[in-house]
Amino acid sequence: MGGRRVAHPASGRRTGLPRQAAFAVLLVAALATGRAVEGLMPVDDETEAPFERTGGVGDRVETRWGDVEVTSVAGSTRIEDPHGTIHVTGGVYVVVDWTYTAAGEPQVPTYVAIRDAEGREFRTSVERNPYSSGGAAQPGIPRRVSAAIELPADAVDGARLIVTLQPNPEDHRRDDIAVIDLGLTGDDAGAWAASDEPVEVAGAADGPGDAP
Amino acid sequence: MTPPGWWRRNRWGLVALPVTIVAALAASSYRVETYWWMEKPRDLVHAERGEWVTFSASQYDRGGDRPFTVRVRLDDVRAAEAPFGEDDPLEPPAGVQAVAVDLTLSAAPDVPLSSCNLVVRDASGTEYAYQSTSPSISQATSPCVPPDARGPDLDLFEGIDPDTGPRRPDEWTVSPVVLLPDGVEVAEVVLSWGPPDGLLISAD
Repeated sequence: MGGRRVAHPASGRRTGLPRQAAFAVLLVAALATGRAVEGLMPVDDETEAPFERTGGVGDRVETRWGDVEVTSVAGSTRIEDPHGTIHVTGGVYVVVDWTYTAAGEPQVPTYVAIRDAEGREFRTSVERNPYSSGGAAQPGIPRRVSAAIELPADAVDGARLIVTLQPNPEDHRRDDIAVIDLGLTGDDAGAWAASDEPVEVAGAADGPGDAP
Repeated sequence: MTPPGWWRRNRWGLVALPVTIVAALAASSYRVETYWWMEKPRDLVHAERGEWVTFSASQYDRGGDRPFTVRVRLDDVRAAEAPFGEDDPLEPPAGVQAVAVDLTLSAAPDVPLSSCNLVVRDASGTEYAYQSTSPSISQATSPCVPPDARGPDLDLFEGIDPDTGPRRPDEWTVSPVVLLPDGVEVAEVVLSWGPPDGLLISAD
């Protein structure tokens, strides 16, 4: 290249501008293509999606921050929260008992929700959807907890429990979340919507507990 | 005359390249301090069990920076008999052991030292924290000061007197209790009055 330029300095200067212009056009085209690909493909959703660790009732689902195991699922139109207060719903209360074992350091799963087959998420809350974590759990010591979530009856079929550390869903990006299929059907929804027997929501406790 | 080579033609770009890389990394690492360096004690002073170590760091409150110096000695790590500063019996659930960390500390009585964190680590680095309340234990809020003579607190809230009552002794011992799974051996004790500074004492 250098040799040619020395041999034909005039022609090099003449073709310089068009070559630079062609380079600029190519550069803009490459940037525009990249922008178009980014806009058309779900790049942000994919790169920021959490890692879903899946399982069923009785499975020990391993995540970066610990293990989650659902031990039992019950339902009714009434629950009794850990303070003894009765809550009543026009839909269905689904009560999930699960065990959480932290890994590495004391940690507390604060985001606990039920995701239905359509992808709607129903979260635990302070008053009507009781869940008490008991604070950060020491690693290796199983923490038994219970979460009750009020759902419309049509959300029960195919419902999955979602558990992760960060309370803000925006912070779930690139982190592990446990997704546990509760094995529920429309029949469960019908039976629970017709039941007014209160289901007890237990407070948090440490240790393996009584083996079922 | 030979034409200038590629290296020579691009010499200023090549000089600028490492500077640019360093500047780009620095500009994009503004979260390292917040999310990593300040996340837990990382600037650790090392000490051995049974020896006095002098630890100096700084806290801050409404009055600004509060530098302090405290002397600490780890005396023992043993099976606990009672929660720290509580009369309730210690009843850990099955598979859980309660370990008492015996520390002797020494500092001027007007130094606020109550807001400290105590963590024990096993040989693999897994951390177990001192917890004043959990479903399995209830004990004093601070693991570092005598529960009945805490000394002053940091002046954090307007209208709340930081003086907590009885004068703290010049030297005192504490025995905070940490719950661990059975079979875990404590290798290190980490004491901190706020990241990134901390004191790491080997328990061997």
